[in-house]
Amino acid sequence: MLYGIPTFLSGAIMRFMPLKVGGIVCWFLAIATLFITPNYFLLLVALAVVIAWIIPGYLMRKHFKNKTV
Amino acid sequence: MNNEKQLSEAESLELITSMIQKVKASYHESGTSAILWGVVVALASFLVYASITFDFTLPIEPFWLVFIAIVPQVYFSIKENKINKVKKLEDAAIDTVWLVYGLSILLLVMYANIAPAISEKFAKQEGWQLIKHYTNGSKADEKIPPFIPSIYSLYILLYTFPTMITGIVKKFKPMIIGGIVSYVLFIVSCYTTFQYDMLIGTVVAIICWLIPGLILRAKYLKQRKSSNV
Repeated sequence: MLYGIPTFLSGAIMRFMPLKVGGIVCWFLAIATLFITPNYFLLLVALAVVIAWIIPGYLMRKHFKNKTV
Repeated sequence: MNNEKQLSEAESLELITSMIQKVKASYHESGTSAILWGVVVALASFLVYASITFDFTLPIEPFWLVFIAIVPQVYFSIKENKINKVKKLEDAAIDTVWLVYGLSILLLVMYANIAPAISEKFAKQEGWQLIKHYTNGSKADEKIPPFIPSIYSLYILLYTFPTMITGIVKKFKPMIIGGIVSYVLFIVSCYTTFQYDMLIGTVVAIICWLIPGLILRAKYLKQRKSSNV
């Protein structure tokens, strides 16, 4: 849940949809952790990191490179 | 083609001033949201603390008051959006912070209500259960359901976050100080029982919302009075 807060806020302030989606996905994953055993928690954390930070990060990088060219 | 009236320098200045005044009258800047949250959370936390300390049962769950507070917040926000078409970027950001805060509180309530029951189910599947054992043997062992230790500390931590952001963005010292004090009280609450966590929650609501809210309200009313003169 805490991963989702800064991600969604950054997306809303920067008006960058992938970050907003990443934040919302984090909140859904937070709800999902309630219904699974702790063995799978770290798997969901990895998924959250990929969706909330790595993918938006690459998209931002691509956007930045396109702008500077 | 261009039907817009050309404004004189004085008219432009007047227009800018009136727009600034409109923006300054926002829901957060008038202190209404802070006062509302401060009163509701302080009252709910104190009622729980009093019911444990003086051993009485409350007719309703006091934290339902928090949900009642969300209704006027939504109403005022919609009303304000209709009146104020002009919105600063920082106000839009603060609105998002409070929206995310409300959502996070809802998720935390979900966690507090669902997690123990689901943990009990998983424990049952694995064939174990929690037992309360008195080391001095004064009472017999009793089966207890899984629980989240010091859950109200997490609420205190979350209460602080929108105040801190609003204070830093708006450069409003009472909220920044309130936020810092609340972070310290969060650490204190990790060392206290649930009963005193509720008392700390009352203090946090007063320090980080009610007092800054009242200061904002006084400033807002003073500003409105001077602009009407």
